[in-house]
Amino acid sequence: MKLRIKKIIIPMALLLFMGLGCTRTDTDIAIDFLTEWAVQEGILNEDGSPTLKTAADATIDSSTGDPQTDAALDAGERVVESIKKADVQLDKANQVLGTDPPNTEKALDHVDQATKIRPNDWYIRNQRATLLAEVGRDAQKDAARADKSCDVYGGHRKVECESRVYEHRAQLLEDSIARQIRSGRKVKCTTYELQAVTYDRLSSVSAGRVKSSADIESYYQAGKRAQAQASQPGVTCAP
Amino acid sequence: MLILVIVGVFLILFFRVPQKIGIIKSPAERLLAGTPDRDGAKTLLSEVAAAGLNTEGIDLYVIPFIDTGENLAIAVLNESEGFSFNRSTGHNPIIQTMIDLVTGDTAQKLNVTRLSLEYRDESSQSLMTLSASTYDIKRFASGTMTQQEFMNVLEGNINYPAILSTQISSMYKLFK
Repeated sequence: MKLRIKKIIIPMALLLFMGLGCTRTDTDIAIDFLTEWAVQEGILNEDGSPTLKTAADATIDSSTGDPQTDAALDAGERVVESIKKADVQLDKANQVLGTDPPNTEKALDHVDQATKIRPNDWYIRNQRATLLAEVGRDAQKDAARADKSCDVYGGHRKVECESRVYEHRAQLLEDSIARQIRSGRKVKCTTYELQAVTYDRLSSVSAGRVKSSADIESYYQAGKRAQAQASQPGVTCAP
Repeated sequence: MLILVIVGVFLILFFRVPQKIGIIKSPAERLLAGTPDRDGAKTLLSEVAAAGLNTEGIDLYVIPFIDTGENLAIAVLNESEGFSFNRSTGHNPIIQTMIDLVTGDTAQKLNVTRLSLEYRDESSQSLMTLSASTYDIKRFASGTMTQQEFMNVLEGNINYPAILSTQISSMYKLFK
């Protein structure tokens, strides 16, 4: 079990031992630094024993008093591990998409795993939506989940978040179209449909940001082109 | 009976049972629920690599605080994946790594306001996590804050059993 303690001591006997080694490893450097910090913070008495306050902190109060600092200290165990596991799945998905021909179904399996680990991560939801569209399945739910993840923010930060979500998805869809064409297939209509919606939203949200009118116009035109491609299943796109 | 209840409540709180079973969300789960800026983290890591920091064995994450929109950078320094400190600078290698990570242009553009640095040993055990605000790290780097003042504003989590296990393992190797 990992004993989580905000500020605790390294017993002096063991610390003294650290000095016995011939060469200082990087771990020694880290532990030495911790010791120095603990002494300066008053976590250790001069003789290396824990103070009463330290003992109380270690058992009762594990908060620093600042939620952001608490979150930063806790993030490794609670947040980073999930990002890391999900990103491993995304890397695997990218690997199988990079093969010739790309294995989209296998990639989708990996992205599904990533989605299970981090269901509210728009970066992953965008990947899932794009791959679902690429295999001709309904992608709108995942796209909507990605968009909804920006609801935690308010005002201009929500707009910025939405803009990043749409820009990311637009890029993924461009990559998907290139991949489908490269493998000699007609692009799925569902891909163009999602692209049309994405560019439409991107042009709308960009109108509320500091974006050039040329950018907004180019998004609008890209959306119209995608809509035109999606409109004739069997002719301009694969149903 | 009353003593049993008190002990039970103490143990439940001590082992953070409400957080573990999801009744109470930890600050990390509440404030860092947003999507990490993966591209931003890659750019930041490239920048510090170009500036000379050995980035082998460093995993870097940039995650927004959802309450303020500022970003937290989390660097996991993993000795088992090839991380090693740069020992040639004047500062303590840990503090120097903190400085290298958040004082560049990219960290500023990404609005990184706090750094969390986790150290993992050669068996990939997490030994500790240290955190400081970018503001304080910059103040120390520019010389407007002494090392002692900087140490005072550092906050940390120490995985005590992992440190003991590392040290016992080192002792065993030494006397073997």
